[in-house]
Amino acid sequence: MVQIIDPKLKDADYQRAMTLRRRNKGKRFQAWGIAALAVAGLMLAALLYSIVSNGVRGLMEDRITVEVYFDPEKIDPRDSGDLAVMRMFNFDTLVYPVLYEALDIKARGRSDRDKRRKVKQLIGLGASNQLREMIVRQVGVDPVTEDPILVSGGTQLGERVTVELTALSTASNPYTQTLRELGYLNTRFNGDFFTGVNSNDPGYYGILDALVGSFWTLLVCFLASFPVGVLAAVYLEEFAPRNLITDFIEVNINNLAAVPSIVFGLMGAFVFIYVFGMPGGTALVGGLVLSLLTLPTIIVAARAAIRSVPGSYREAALGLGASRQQAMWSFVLPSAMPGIITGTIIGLAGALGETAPLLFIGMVGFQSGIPLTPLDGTPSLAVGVFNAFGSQFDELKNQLSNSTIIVLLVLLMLLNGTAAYLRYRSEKS
Amino acid sequence: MLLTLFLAVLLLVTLLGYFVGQRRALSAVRADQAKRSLSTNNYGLAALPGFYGQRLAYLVFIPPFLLLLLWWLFEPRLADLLIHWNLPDAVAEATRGEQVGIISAIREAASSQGGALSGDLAGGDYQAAVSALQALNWINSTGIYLLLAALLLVLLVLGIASSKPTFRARKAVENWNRWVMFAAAAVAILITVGIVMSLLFQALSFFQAYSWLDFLTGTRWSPGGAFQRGYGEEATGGVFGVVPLITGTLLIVVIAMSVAVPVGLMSAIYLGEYASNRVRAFAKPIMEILAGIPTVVYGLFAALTFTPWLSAGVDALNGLLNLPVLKSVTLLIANLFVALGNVVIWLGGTVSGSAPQLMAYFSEVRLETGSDIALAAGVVMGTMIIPFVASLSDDAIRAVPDSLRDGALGLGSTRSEMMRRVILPAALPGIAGGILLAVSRAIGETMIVVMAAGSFAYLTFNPLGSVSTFTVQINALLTGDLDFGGTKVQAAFAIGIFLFFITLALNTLALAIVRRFREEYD
Repeated sequence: MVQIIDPKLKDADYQRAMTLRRRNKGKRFQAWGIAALAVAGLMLAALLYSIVSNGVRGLMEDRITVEVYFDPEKIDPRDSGDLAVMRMFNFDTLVYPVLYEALDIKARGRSDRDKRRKVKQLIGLGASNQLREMIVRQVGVDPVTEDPILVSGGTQLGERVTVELTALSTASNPYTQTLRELGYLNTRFNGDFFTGVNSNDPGYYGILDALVGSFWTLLVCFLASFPVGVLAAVYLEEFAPRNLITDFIEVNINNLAAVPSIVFGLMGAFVFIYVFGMPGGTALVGGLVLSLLTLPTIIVAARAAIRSVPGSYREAALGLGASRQQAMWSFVLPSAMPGIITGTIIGLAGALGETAPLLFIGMVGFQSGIPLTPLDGTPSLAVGVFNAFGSQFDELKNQLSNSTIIVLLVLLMLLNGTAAYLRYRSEKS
Repeated sequence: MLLTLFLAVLLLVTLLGYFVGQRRALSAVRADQAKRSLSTNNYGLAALPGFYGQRLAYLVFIPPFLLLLLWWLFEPRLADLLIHWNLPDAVAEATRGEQVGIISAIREAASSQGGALSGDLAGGDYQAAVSALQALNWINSTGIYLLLAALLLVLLVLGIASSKPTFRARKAVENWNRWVMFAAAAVAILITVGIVMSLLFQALSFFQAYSWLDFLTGTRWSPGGAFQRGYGEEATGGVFGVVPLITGTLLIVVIAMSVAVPVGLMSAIYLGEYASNRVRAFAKPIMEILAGIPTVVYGLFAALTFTPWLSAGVDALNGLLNLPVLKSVTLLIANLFVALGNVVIWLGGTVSGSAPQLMAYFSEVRLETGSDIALAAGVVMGTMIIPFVASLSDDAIRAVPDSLRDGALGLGSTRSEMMRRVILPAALPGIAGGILLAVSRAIGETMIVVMAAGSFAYLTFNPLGSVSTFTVQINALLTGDLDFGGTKVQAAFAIGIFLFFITLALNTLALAIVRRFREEYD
């Protein structure tokens, strides 16, 4: 008889050593698993850290408080009293001397030129406008001559007024600390962020238009994809005959779920804007494009929800003389609703964060003002993040973009939380 | 104005139709009952009164609404087609800029009072297009509403006349419902057709202007700046060769996969096999959050945070490589490669396409990074795909029957041996399918690469270099003014169709693999 067992295996010490080696190998394998989780966790932590640390800074803004003297000698040197003349004045120049004096910088001459440039960089883009509006304000355009119609802004020449101006790039400016200690510069909550609309000026940048735009977009997306998705799911799950057309529809739905979102953007730009002539950059087109993305999600969720309704519901209704459709509309669909709504909310949450397809249909946020209807041009929150990223200003590019992300993530958490709660409640009952 | 009015009337008539239908059915049956003084079901309604109302409402609402919708959707295109049909042939030879000018002049004339063309265009040739457009404008503003009103009236009369108690209203309503449901399901087909048609339509015009062979084999991608060419000039300035885009996409996808696959797979194994409930309660949300974060957020992180970190890391590595102890070793290795290259050149060959001249030897080794690093975009994209890979691997592992697991453990293997030698080989097709799905997702991913990868398409496999991808170029070509006749926009659609079919093929392949695998055990 052939001895197939290695004689070494009979040795107890050798066996013990082998077992130990195998156990250690298992432990190493397990350690790789922990390491993988740690990598995922670390990346998430880095991502959240980056968002929160930058985003919170965007929620605070630095303001410079100075007493401005509206010097008649400078603003209206010939004492003409003409508002059009005063309007041409560069009001920034009223602020600089005050700061030069505070910082002990010579207002003239070569020696302090660099220092003066640094101080000028601190004052926000909108400061000149803000001061001009106090003296002279444009209320419209003359229809005949096309001249601006000007009225007095309420402040008279020669007055001394304390004004608050936005400060830019304070993190990298050498005078920030000194001005803060002298009381010229203070930090406060950035209220404009929630009440303002998108702007190139970090001092005035806000997300209200993007929020409203996202709301309209999601509303259009919901109205377009929910009824279609639910009806399609009911049909495919309950009434569709088994034939080629039905199979083809099912294949299409599965494929649509995997098409890259950028392709939907291409198709949306061509079909909705070029062929159908819809207005580009509006929540209407944006919502329709996003509904193409949410539709497969809703159909799949709705079919699963309908399938999970106990057959006894249907049978009871049919037994009482209801038609198959009556059983569906009055008994099966209402019981499936929590599942359908959960799936819809998850689909809408995905649509809320979608950016790429919206860029091609013109939702780039060049429009200003709050969109009052879905037919107004508007950015969405996610597009707003991308637009802010394109800014030349550090505050907008690094900080306010991340603040917008915080708002976006909070909304996503609310949506997903609602979905999770609905699922929990329907599972309990 | 008329549109709003008509919609209001339509809704009102629909509502009215519901009540009229219901009332008529009820009153008819009451009259019937009074006449016969009977109350048996035989003489009652054929359906619940509500169905009569519903049916009448459907009848008056659906046809006019569909007609209006189709008109509203296709009228803009119809106007373009009408102009094109009625233009004299000579216009076809004019430059693009002139054509646009002529068309806008015709549109302006058609919407003005007299409808006469002014200036150079006055005269017989273009007047035909103006009158055709004027006719269309009249239909659009008045004619269509007259037609719709007539249709509405006819349907209302027909519907009321046919609302008899014996009419099987439930059946009628359910037939309408079936069609509506079928239409909803068919939307999926419509969308696919829309995608394929729009991509094909634009891509074919692109390939008329640009050879498809040059497109597929060209090694230079340089579409030219947006303002480089005048509007009227024929667009021939751009060079569209997709090879650098293919290599760029490939590089980023390979980097992303080499992060996502090991991390995703090992996380799935650990969470499914080893983790205690406490660890799982902590780790599951990590995956869910990673999966729920929008791509634009990953993009911002990659561009503004991760790329600088990586640059700093590379700088530190440069410092390490140039430490006195290591410097001689790194220099030796680097210069060995240079020497090899020089031998090749000396023998008459060329090195990476450069002219055959001897290469200089290094005196210092330094890894260069620019403002865009492919590695950064790839790693962040990989992070985004981790949960996707993890959940698909988890599905594949779970699909392996427990008997295999029990058998392996029963034969005395450790848990890791059971995992590596039995479960993973059995689940491999499913995992491979999942990885293919993840690759298709990575190829189509846009925002991360738009924000963190380069816009210039270098032909390189250097992970520290800057590369561009399909999606970056689609975004670059389509952002701004959309000129659907222009070569640049058409080029975007040409890449789009490329992308569409690549992802479609990958998905089909992945699903086929997964399906075949499932059949083995069921």
